[in-house]
Amino acid sequence: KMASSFWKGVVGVGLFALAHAAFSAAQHRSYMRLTEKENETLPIDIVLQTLLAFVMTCYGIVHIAGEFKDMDASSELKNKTFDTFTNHPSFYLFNHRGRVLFKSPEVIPSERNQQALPNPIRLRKLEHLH
Amino acid sequence: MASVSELYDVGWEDMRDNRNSEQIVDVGEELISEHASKLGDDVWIIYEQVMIAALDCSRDDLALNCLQELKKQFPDSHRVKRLTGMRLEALERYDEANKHYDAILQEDPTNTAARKRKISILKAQGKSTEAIRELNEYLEQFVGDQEAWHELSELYINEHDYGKAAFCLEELMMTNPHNHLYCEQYAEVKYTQGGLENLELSRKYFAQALRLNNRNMRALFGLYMSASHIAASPKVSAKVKKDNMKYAAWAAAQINRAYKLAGRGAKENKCSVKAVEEMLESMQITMS
Amino acid sequence: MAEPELLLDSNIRLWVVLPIVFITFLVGVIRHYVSILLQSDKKLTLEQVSDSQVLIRSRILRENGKYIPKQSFLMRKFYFNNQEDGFFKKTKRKVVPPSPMTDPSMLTDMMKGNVTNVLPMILIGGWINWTFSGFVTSRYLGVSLCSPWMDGHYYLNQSSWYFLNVFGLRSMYSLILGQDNGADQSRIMQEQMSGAAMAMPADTNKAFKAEWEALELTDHQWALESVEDDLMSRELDFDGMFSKELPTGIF
Repeated sequence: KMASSFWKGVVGVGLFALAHAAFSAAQHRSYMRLTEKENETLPIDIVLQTLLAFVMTCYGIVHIAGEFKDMDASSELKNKTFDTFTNHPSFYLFNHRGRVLFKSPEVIPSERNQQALPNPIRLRKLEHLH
Repeated sequence: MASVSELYDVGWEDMRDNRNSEQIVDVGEELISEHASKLGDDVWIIYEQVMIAALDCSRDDLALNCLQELKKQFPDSHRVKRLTGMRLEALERYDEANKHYDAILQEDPTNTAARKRKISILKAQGKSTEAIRELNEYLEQFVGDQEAWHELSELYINEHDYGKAAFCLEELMMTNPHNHLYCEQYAEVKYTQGGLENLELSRKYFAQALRLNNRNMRALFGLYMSASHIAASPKVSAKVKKDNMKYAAWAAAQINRAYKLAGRGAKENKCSVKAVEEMLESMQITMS
Repeated sequence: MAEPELLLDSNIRLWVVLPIVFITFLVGVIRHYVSILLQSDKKLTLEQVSDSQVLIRSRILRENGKYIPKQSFLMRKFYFNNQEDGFFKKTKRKVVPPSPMTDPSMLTDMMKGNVTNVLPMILIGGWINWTFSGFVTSRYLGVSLCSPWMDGHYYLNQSSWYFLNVFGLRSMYSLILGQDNGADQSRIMQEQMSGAAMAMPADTNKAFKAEWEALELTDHQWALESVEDDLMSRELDFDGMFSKELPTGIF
């Protein structure tokens, strides 16, 4: 999170420096035209600023553009499990054990003492195992 | 969806992909009741997910809540109509649900989701032959639906029709040649089918799965089993026998190495390595 | 300089060049949203969807057929291509040449296209031509092929600058508006996308014929011929296999 805002700053500074260099170049041109020294090239500091700012912006953008992906096409699947992979959302069935496991609390009044705990559903599910 | 993962230390996608409905209901209920305004347009997707998860946990109150919100926002969306049908399914009112899906299909015959729901109803009613027939008909028209191919392969496996299941998995392997899990499952099906030719194929695909993902232990064991099974067969030629012995030995060595790596630093390391060797030995004996 | 050069007033930059860029850009943005408003969802027939999926499947068979055993490959190829009743041989789709006269939705689509694309171009172009008439807006250097007397200098007037903008800003739009933005969550929710229905070629029979030819030329080169030796050439890489965060389902 921190790094991202840092790199955003880098890009911002880089873009600003680029714009500044462009403005300086335009000003230099108009100045040259006024003093009728048409053949003069751009001063070295403006050229340097342009190049540096460009490199800086590129470098920053690479960092904020998002995560890089592995070149190996199969690497993304390495951490996928069989559970994820045999899960077909369009073919969900609902007549499974969930109905019994997650029965609403009113049905089983004897377990009211569990209510104070943060997650009664989960605890009750474990009890079924005992 | 950034706001979700910021609020909770869990990945929404992870929960959904593993059908972790209990968690989704936990998180989603709070999310909807307290942070709905912050979510913007994402909230509709969340309503849908939470509703399905609620059906899983038979929390009809929550599901109905989500459904009503969605109906208010999208009065004549097919997707919402499908959700209505799914709720009826969860209440086991299959005929009414079927009517809903038929209505969707009448308006839009290309609606794949509704057709898949109809197949699921057949499955839920235990009519697996009909489900297979319907799914085949469906796949004739939508031959690119990978989820349906996988579902069909599972249905066939349940019916012990391994040849047809293998066909479905081949289809999936072609569309995702980089997925080691499809390769592994295909190899398993072929191994189950038995016969020398199928075992050869199964060994190849276990090896392929392992090549795609070195950490797939199941495929490593599969490679060991299939290779040693072929080597133990009396019908094969000497060269094939030698090759398969080599593969099996290599797989055994790798399994050993993996267990040594796993037991690094533990005290009973020596014991467990011995246990592994015994286990490999015993697998070989049961096979021949 | 051999000949006197036109000196451009710097006010032109401020009052002509920049406004034109600005106007063109904003008109582009507005046009984008108007076209989203007018967009009508194309209804695909069942046949179109399934035909396109068959074509995709056959293409995948050609490209990735090497990952399945030879027997299975030949079986699928036979299904598509066999002499008597292969899928591509026997399936003949009735081709209805789309005609704007018979299909009213096509007529409206055409009109919408005109309204969003051609009309603003003419209107804004005309208006710019009229408002900023008579300005030489900028000068640029270029290699002159046929007019050596211009010394490689070109001068742009306001309308050429406008057209330069219309076509040059296209990449800016995709940067700012996104490839397919406007189609936000709520729109997806409204209508579910019907599978992977790609753009269908106008003539299905021709597409089938082409696919038949391509498939006929495809042979099975099994990718798994030497997979074991490949695998055994080095030790397995168990990196990170026993780290805690790895899901256990992998076993």
